[in-house]
Amino acid sequence: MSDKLNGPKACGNWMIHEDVKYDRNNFWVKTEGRIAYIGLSDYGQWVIGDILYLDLVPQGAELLKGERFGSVESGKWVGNLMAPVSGHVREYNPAVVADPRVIQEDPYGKGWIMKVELESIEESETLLDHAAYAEFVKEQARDAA
Amino acid sequence: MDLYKLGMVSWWESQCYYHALAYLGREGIIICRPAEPYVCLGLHDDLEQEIDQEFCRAFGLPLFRRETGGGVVYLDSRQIFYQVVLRRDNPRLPIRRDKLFPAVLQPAIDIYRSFGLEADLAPPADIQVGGRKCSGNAAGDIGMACAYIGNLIMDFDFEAMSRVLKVATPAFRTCLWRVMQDNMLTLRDSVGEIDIPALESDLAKGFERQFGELNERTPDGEMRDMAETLKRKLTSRDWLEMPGRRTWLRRIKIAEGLFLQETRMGEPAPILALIRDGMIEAITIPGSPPRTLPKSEWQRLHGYGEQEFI
Repeated sequence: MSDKLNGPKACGNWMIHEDVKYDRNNFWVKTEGRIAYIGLSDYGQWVIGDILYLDLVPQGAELLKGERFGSVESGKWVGNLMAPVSGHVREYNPAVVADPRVIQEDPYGKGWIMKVELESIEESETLLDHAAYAEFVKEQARDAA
Repeated sequence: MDLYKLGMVSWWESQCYYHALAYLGREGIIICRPAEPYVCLGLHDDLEQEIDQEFCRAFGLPLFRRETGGGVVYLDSRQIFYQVVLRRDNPRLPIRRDKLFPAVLQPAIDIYRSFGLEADLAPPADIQVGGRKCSGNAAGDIGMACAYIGNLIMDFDFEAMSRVLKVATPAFRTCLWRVMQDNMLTLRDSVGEIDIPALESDLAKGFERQFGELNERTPDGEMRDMAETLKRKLTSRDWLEMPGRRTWLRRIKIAEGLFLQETRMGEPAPILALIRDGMIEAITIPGSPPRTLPKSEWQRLHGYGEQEFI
C-alpha cells in the first residue's frame, strides 16, 4: 500500500480513519483506481481478539461481496471472513500471512490483508464512510456493554 | 431453549448434531458422550503435521475435522461433551465470542466444585484445578449460529493421545505423555465412583441456570438428516486433508499457556522445551532424565539466547 492512512479519529477505544470506507463486518477498503487494499478496522481486530491464524482463499481467487473468503482463529474461537467487495485477489500481505498479529499492531498500515482487483468501482462506493462506520461501531459497542 | 440429553451416541453423532443445529439455524444444548474412540481435529489443524495416520489406521480410529477452534484431541466414552448452539441474532451471543466462555463453562466448573475441586476458568477457555487442565473447550461460527463445545474429562487415555500425535522421536512421545500426565487432571484422579447419569443431569441443571428453561427433546428427522449429510463432509478425505496451520518446529499445546516444543538444538534428536506462559520451564535432553533448568543455567551451558534456543 502506498502510504500509511491519514485522518485517524478516536471512536470510543478504537481508531477510525477518514480516507477509507468500511463494511459492517469491520473491514476497511481503500481504493486506488480498480485496485483496493483491504484490512480489518481497529474495532474489527478487537472484536476478533488475539489473532492466531488466518486461512485465506488462494491468490487469484474470485471474491464475491458478502461471501466467505477465509477464516480466522483467535483463542479457541474460529470465525468466517466475508468479502467486503467483489473482485480477484491479486496479492496478500506477506507480513500478515507470516504473522497475523501484525494486524493487531497496525490494522490500517502494516496490517493490511490483501490487494484486490475490483469487479466494479461502483460497488465499493456503497460501503460506509467513516462517519457512518463510527455510528455503527458506537451502536455495536453499546449493545456489547 | 432445547436440551438434547443423548447419553451415549456414535462417535460421529457426538460431533455432527451440534453442527447440524448450527447449519439449520436452530438453538440448543447437547449433552452426550461417544460410544467409540476417535480423533478430532480443529478447523485449522494440519492433518499431515499433526496426526500419525498410520497409527490411527492400525487401531481403527476414525478422523473428524470439526468447525471450531482448538487442537487435535483423542476422544472416547470417558469424556462427557456439552455443546451450546446459539443463533447469531441471539442478543445473548456477544460480539466478542470469547466473552461467553465464562457462562458456557460455569456448569462444568460447578460440577468440579461439587466434588470439592477448586476449579476455575483459565481464559480464554480452559478449566483448571490447581494449575492442571480438566476440561477442553472451543467455539466457532458455523452457518448462522455460533457453537461452544467442551467436555468434562472423567478419564483420559494419555497413552493413546501421545500415540495419535505425530512426533519426531520416541523421546518426544515419552515426554509428551509425561507432560500431559503432570498437567492434566481427570475426575478419576480425585473421585471414586462416578454416577454418569447424575452428573449429566447436574450439568443440564447448570445450563438451565445460565440459559433459562430448557425443554428436553430428542433429535428429529431434520436434525438427523443434516447430521448424516455433515458426517460425509466432515470426514471426507478432501476436508480432512485441507491444509492448515504449520509450524517450523514441532509444537504441541498441552493446556492454556503450556507448550511442549522442539528446539533448534540437539539434532538429530532435538532437545525439547516445556514452555509455560512464554518462559522455558524445563528441558529434556534425549538420553537424559527430564530436568528443570533455570534459564541462566541453560544459557551458560549452551551459550544461546532464548530466541536462538527456541
